[in-house]
Amino acid sequence: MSKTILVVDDSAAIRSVVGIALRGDGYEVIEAENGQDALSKLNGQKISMIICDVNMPQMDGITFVKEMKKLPNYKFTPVCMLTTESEQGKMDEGKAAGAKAWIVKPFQPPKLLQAVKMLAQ
Amino acid sequence: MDMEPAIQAFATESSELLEQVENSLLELETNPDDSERVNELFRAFHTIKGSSGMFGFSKVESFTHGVESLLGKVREGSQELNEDLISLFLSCRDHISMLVGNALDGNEELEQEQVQAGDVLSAQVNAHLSGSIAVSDELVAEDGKTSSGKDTQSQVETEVDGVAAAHWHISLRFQPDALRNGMDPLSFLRYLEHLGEITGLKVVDTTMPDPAEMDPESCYLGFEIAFDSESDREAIEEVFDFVQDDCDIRILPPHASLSAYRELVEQVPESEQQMAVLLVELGSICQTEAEQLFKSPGNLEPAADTATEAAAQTSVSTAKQQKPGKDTAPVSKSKQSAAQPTTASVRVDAAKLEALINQVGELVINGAGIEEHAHRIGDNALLESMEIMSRLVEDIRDTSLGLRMVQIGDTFNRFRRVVRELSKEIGKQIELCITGGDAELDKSVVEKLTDPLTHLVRNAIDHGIETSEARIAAGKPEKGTVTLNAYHDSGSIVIEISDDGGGLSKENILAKAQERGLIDSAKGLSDQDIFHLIFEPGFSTAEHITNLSGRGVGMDVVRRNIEALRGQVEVESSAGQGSVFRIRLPLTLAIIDGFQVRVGDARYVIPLDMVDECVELPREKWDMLQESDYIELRQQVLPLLRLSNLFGGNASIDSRPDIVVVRYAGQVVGLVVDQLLGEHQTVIKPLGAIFQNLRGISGATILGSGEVAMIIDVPELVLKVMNRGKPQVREMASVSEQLH
Amino acid sequence: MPVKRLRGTNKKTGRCNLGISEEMNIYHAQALKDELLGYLNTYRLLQLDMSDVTEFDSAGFQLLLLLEHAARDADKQVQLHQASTAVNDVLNLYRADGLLGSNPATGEA
Repeated sequence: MSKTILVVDDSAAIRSVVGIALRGDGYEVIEAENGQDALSKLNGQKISMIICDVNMPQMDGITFVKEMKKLPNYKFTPVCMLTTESEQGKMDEGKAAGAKAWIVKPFQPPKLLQAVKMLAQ
Repeated sequence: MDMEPAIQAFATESSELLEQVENSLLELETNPDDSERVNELFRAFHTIKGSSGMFGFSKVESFTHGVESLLGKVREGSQELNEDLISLFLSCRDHISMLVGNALDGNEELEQEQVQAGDVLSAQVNAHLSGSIAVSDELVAEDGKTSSGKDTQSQVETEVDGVAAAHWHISLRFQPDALRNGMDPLSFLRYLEHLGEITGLKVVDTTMPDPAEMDPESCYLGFEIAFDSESDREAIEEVFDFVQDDCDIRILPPHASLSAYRELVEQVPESEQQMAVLLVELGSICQTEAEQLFKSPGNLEPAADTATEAAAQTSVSTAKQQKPGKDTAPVSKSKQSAAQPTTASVRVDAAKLEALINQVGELVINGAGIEEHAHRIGDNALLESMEIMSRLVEDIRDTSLGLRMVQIGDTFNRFRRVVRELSKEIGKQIELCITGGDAELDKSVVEKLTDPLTHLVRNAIDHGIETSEARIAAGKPEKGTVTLNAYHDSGSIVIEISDDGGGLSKENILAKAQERGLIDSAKGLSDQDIFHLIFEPGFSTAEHITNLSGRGVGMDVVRRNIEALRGQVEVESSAGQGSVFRIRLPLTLAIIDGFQVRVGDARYVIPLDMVDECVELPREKWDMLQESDYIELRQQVLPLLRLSNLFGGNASIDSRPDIVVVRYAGQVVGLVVDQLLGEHQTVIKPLGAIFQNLRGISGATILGSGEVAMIIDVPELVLKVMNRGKPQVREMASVSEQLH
Repeated sequence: MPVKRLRGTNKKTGRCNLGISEEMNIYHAQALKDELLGYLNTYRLLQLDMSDVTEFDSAGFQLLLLLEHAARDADKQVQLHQASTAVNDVLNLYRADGLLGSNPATGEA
């Protein structure tokens, strides 16, 4: 049974790249546009890992992580945040909230796949 | 891996974002305090930068980076957003658009002038950034490794008093929160196996408390691992990048020094004996070495090696430092306002929408066929069901067509930029006023409207609005106003472009028209007719032809474009006060409610939304009908048009004629037909090329019986009637066109 | 209930056969711990049939460790009788094949 990964990013282009990379590696992918959207997608199905952008409208990545941590069925899901150079300050906030894995944008798809393997083997 | 769909997504997304950027910047010019907009702007550039980087479009990425930074300063309040800056941002936006287009085309190199233009803009951006932030140089993702110790480490791996073991030794102590944070050792160890072979592993669970205190969600696991690998330290360290906070990591290279192991043993919570046993069992140290380990605690470091060893064996968790923050600009303290207007929407493939509309069309046609059968059979229950079905189909039809409707406001907003730049260019102060932006029209119509609208707006600015001096002299406000307005009117959408300029000069127009031989004399021409002369090909009253509005080829192209959309243009103007150009377009193109009629043997459909009423003439009036082109209806004169005359076909003398009163642009006309057949959902099928010039017919439809019925072009016919008895300028044109 | 009492359970002999179903991971760890320790309290020999376990993570593994410690402390016995592929994979990786005298026989994963 293949693993399902939730990808949260307000950029359709990035969702697309990540989706192609992940699906190409045999993962199932669910996409969400922002934290709010992502929460709605956590509705009972098995998620092996969440890849989440920090800077998003509606609900940003860190708020999403905090909310996700309240969901009994998802609170232990590994989360990998996507951030840009200028958001390094957010990392501390995110780690405090429980998001421990961080990748800096832009990244090459292989790098992302590597991260996925590290967290969702 | 085929990234084409992702690149497609990038193209669409960037183009939308760049459009949004333009609108936002123009909005901000009038409302500079709208922090919501500024956030939007920042996020737009941020996204473009991020996603372009993903595809390796480095020129886009690096240029956008600077713009984003500058916008960051605006967002945090350390940079004021004035007119100059907005102009700069607009220019940057244009440059980015060009760069993106270039990147998507696969062009590696830019033209000289493009490079120069980019440099100029970058210099300006940097000037505002006051050169304090060097971020523009640092774009490539880094994993935060200290590069300092790297070179020394590779030399140091072979120790002076190194152990015999030729494998790496990895010691892990996961912290209690590891599992809660989603960091399961299993994942990391499985990943580690990609880099080499785990030849030995010992689970260490000494921190696990008594069952009563044991928290099943906490992590009490540690590992001592013998790892055979060709990889270098960096690669192995990288495996544990994400667990630095949740795990104590110590990595000893092959042939690490005994003192390194000594230090390891000292640092872990387990007792020396315990560790010694583990290490020997793993083969990381042999028995002899173990004895040495405990024989001389602390005496094992030869002085010379201390410094280099420190580099080699420092626990990974302390060796890695956060990259020193180069971006010293404080992160914006203002919370990202989450108060975005929420419109849940779905992106739909245009082709799919098209397919849906077609399918609904087929559904409508087939439904009509079934309805006919139902009538024939005469089964009441069936007829009732059919009625309900018809209504449902109508609803689906309306909803599907509604999907294609877009607000004209989006198009109108694009003109802000046009007006802004134009007015600057020609030195007039002009304000653009937009109303009715939420009027909706079909997507395909909107796209084709842009050109004619642009021309009319430019026209208004260039020729309509007078110069500042002239306006002041005339007692008008110096600032001229151009207004874009839209509204619905009986089955049409009306778009008005008006200005408060000098208005059209009838004398000039007449003079020019006569000069060009378009008319013989001014006799019998109404004001409307005179104004409409400007749409004739080869006409221009501008004293000087500016770049902006073209060389007199503009207006007739405008009219042609509008007519291609089955629309009409009207002009209203009063000298000294201004002009209004009014474009009327049919609302929907695909499926309409129609009213079926019979003329002779053929069937026709009249769009229901243009039907005012149906009149059944009493017998006495029939004869009157034969002779006259008008009848009296409720004290009003109703002009008539006999469809049997217009379209040919056998005029049935016996049957009682009926009149369908249609209304368009405020004018009513009575269409004389042989029989009224009732309402009918009509799917418009386009006519073949042969029929393009057929006046009075706008399309065809297939009836339930399979028969083809023509759809009457009401606007065309109404205009025809209105032009009856007038100088035949346009009629001549249309006839000659038809002859071709 | 992730833990089922199976046939062969006998209060008199003190033997309890338990089947653990499907998910033995961190999400169920607390409940599992309470149940398993409860059974260990009541019986002297616990035989675990984990052939139906589809998900097994480090938290699940820790529970087995816990049982081993607890059993030793209480002078009782816990045996891993059957293990699914998921369970065996983890036990292999952690070089813990002998944990709870586990039987390499694989049930349904």
